[in-house]
Amino acid sequence: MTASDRWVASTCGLCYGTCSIRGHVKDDVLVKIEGNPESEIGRGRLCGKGVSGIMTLYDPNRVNAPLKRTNPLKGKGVDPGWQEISWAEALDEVAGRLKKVHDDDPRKLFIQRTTTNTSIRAPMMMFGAAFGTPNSWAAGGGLHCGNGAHLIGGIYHASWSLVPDFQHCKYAIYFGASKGHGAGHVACTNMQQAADARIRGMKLVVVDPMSNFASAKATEWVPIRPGTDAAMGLAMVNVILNDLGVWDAEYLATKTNAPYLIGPDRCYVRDADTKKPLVWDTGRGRAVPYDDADAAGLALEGEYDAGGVRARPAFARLREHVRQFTPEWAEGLSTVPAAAIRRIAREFATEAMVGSTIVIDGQRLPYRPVAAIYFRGAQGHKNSVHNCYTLELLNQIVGAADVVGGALGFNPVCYGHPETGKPWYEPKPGPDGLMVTGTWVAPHLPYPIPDPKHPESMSLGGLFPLGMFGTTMASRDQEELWTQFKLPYRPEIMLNYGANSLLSVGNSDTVAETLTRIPFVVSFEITLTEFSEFADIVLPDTSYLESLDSRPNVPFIFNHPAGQGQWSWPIRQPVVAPEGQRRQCADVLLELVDRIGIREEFNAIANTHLKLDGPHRLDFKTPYTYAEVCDRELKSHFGAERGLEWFREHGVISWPKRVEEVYWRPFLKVRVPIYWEFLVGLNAKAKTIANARGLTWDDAWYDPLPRWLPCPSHEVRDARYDLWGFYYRDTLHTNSFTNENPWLDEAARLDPYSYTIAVNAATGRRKGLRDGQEVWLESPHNRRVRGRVRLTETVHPDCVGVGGCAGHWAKTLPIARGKGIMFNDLLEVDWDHGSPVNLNLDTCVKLRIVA
Amino acid sequence: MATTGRVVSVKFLGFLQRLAGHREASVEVAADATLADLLDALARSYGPAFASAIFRTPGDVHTHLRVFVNEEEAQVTDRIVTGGEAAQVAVLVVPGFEGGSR
Ligand code: SF4
Repeated sequence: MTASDRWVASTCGLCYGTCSIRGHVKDDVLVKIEGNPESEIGRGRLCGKGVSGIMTLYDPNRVNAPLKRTNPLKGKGVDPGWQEISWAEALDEVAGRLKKVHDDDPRKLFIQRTTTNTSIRAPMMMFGAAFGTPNSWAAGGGLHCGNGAHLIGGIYHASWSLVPDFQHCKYAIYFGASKGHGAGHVACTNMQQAADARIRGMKLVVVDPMSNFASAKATEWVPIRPGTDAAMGLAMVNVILNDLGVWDAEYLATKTNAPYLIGPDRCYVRDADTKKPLVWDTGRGRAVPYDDADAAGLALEGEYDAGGVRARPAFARLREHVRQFTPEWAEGLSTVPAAAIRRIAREFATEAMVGSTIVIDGQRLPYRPVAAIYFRGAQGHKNSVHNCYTLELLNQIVGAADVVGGALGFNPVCYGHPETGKPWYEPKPGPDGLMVTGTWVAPHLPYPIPDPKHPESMSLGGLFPLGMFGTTMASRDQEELWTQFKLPYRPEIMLNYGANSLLSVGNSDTVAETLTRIPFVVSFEITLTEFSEFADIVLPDTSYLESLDSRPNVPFIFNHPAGQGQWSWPIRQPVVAPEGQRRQCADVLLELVDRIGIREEFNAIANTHLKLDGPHRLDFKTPYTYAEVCDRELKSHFGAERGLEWFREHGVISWPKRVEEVYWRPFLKVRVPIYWEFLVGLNAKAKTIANARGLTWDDAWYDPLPRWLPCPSHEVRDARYDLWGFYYRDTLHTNSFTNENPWLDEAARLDPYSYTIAVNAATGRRKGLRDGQEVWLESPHNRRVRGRVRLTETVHPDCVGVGGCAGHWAKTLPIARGKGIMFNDLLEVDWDHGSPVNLNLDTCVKLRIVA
Repeated sequence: MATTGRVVSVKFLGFLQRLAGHREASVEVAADATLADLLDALARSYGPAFASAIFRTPGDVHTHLRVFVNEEEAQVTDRIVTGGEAAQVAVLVVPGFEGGSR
């Protein structure tokens, strides 16, 4: 290797999978990207997007200098009249306006960001926190992910998401998930692990309206109507508990709240003195606090006198509750045949091998080789909480959670590098003995749940503490709702970090309308997009291949392979130097921190968020560069000799995982809720606040036991709208960010589905449609998009599927422009289409095809 | 909490400054006071909006509350004074600014 011919270890940024890469640089030009085999994150593999990153780096339309709008008029397709300005001029204006807002009311700053195509994420989050605004969201996936799947992943697995234990699982069932077959968290390692699992004989059942990435490699595809996953799941739970009589009594008694006694008011019966939930100790013949009982004698069934009331264990309540959800009932909603539901439930329960154990690394551990995995498809709905809650119960009732072969969270337990013991975190018991995550991607943990309060954020989040983002960040009725809740301010400045919310959130007319109300918009961009048309100042960001970051994969619960193997902590570093006047967003933010006067806040937050300690802690009053912050983070974790210089040379540090980190559930004394008692109190408090402001409320959404609840698309009665529309994440693209990449565009044009509308062949023939025909998709809300039909057997007969998030119109995106379909233009963004539990946006829509 | 003892200097970082109405304050605490005692006293003097920014439910602080003693992060159960030095306590609530996979 010579200075003019070198390989540089770094991290991909073309999706949130953050695979470790090596860039081959010749004469300061990046000529090739490969996977880095020395890192667990990717294990030397790359997807097609990762390889194509070179084309995004050298995109001739990159923004190379700060730009200022000269046309005050803003709108879709309106030319901003960009004028190049100097960094000094740009920062004077941005800092001046931010300082004014900060000194007036910091909540008037609205931060919007993403993780893809841009350099880093932690600095923008820390900046927002230091500034003091609660108004921030990730608009790359917008309201389309997260609120349900991550919440349930956090509550049950102390992790952002889950995968099957690919090394030991024998039977996995995916509900709207593609782990190991598509894009997403630690995608490339999962692909290898899923392929190995297939060779080993793992059976994979994929429940999905479309047979594509996961189903194509599955043992069985089960077509389902969108948004009805909970119906099938509830019927499966019913069959397993009531027809087959299978459950893991020991797991339920010791690792869940299944034995907690529930009174007639649907709440825990509590000990008069300690207020701890009571359980029935059969050995002693009386009710005792949950942490004072003999595990072997805990009652899961029956009815008892306790605390002066008749009470039943939560498990008995659950078992009784699900009796109503017969496979025939579920078939009526989901179209999955009752016989198939019974068979799959039986296969799942049988393969779980309840009671079995296995020896791993000399330790005898529970062995439950089944996993129910849910993600975007199951969760992208108004009913996302109940969908994911139900599906998770499949894992819980057979004890297949974070044990050998089961559903694994992404690394919620880490005891650190052998030489330093860092990073270190593990879940711990919280209120009522229920699990609190050891680390989390968001500071607002999934549990314990804060008391709802009168909302003071743009998303109305305080009133809905189970949600992360709300529709009101960009909804049709945002002003109406803010007025209703007397929000005491309005957004005055938006800082956008690489997100294109025009395409990623919902219909672009609604989003555009909300953006035009914000007086001043600053956007860090690598290329000009539809969003840029609404910006007042554009700042030229570095791409991920020109950036530095000490924590590119958000260690470790966001992007790190689960299961046995190694830990790897890679860095991102510039593979090549930035061209033009591009500056890494992190450095710009640190300059703004000082100009606004929030350095003490920023440094305090950096210390706590990055876990900087000892001599590596930041002094509150000292200015640091972002490289210095990164250096201190690495030294805090791996010792003074392994700072940024060490990582620049080595790229990644790895060490072996311990068995009690991987299969942690039997080792830790934490419980998870099969019965959501906390929803009862939450409902009462939130409803009082909401009703006082005239918001209608439906108690059913806060039932402590799971239900199937309809999305708006299930309630459309107009027979002309006879199809359900949904979009899926195309593995060739990441949201709308990669459409401008010429290699990926070429691949997408060759792919039969990327840029087309998938219509079931029989349905299409019945409607007189032919392959390649141009049609309109129309919603009952008079929204429509145009595209070409692709007739196929791989989509449910009642559905049409659209790939990804394409359909760009900006003139600044000459390759992406006019290609594919912007499905989101069919989506309503308003209160009625959001979840009243976690604010998740509904992303399925009833449609008709107009030729 | 007893009102005789020592005076602690408290700095309100981030949006707590807006809720408190100023950046710094001096608070008298008992000699054996914990940070939780101090937070209780602050919640009482600065009213319900400040209190609900600190406490998740009465008596139980938010998981995203951070307290620093002489710039070092501390637990709310910690006693305030260490080594006989005067303590400067900084209180910060990290707002819910994160989440979602994209
Ligand atoms: S999966 Fe994502 S992070 Fe990995 S190579 Fe592909 S685009 Fe890059």
